[in-house]
Amino acid sequence: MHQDLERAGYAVFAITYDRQVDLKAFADKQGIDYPILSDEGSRVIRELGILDEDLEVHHARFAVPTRPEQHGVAYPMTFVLDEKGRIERKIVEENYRSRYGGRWLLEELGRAPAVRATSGTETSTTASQGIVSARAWLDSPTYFAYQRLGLHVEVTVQPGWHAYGPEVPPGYTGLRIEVQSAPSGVRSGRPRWPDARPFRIAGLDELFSVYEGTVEITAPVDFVVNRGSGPVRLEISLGFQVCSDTECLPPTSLSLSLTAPEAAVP
Amino acid sequence: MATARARLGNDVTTETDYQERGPKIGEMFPNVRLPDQRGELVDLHRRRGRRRAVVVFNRSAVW
Repeated sequence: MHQDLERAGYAVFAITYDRQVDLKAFADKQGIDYPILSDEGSRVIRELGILDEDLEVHHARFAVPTRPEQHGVAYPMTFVLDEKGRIERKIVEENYRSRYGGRWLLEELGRAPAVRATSGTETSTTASQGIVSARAWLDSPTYFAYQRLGLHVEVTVQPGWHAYGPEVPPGYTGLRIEVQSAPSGVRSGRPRWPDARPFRIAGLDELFSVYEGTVEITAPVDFVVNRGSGPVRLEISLGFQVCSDTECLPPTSLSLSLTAPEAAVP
Repeated sequence: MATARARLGNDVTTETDYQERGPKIGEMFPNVRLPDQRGELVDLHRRRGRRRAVVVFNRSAVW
């Protein structure tokens, strides 16, 4: 993941308030070789003014109690620096529920530098890219091996804009959803698309179907993984093109990431 | 097209309150000197050299 960024010429750093010994164990286990800096005591985090002072509030949103030792974490942020060390972009995530959000974000940055994405909760996640935002969730808090679950993706297009539906004439980009998993084995079936509004562009013969406002798409996902596989991470890629009545933006995509824990085996 | 792109850019940078906290876009990122996972003291800007960089603040490797 970070290799893409390094190949693109970026130096990659992660910073947490963990002890160095814990970071070493984590890095060894995850095979991380870029520097993870240990800001034990949160001195740097405080100096930078990005200490998460509302930890209880953020945790309460997920009905999670806050333990005293959890104070000291930074607010989830990513800084992109130019060659001179100046801050070029600052990405603020909405929550920290996703433990490996940083890794995922690195991948995001490497692939699509303009995306502001939000790392997910375990079974629900949101992301936005300008005019389009999306939320995804599974219809079960856990999975078991070979189970079929429903994946829901709610797509919201800002007023004044529309996204092409899945059926488009050749040469245009229709809405599409791709699902990848780690470990691999999750297969997504044919999505159920909501009805789209017919749309004709003045002067063109082609008939389009478009989505406006908020629509929900569902797709079956089969967890073809062995028992005992543990949490399965789903990377959902939503490709789309949006237009107003007068202009179209280039086709783009946004990524949603969520983790399905394995149901406890009796 | 230009307006739409500019609008997209604004959405990226102004949405969250926390966006206002910490070092700002356009500023030099303060130099940070901290030990990495191997216990080696890392001077962020020196290690970066002339490369662009991505600095990610993560929650915790433990919880």
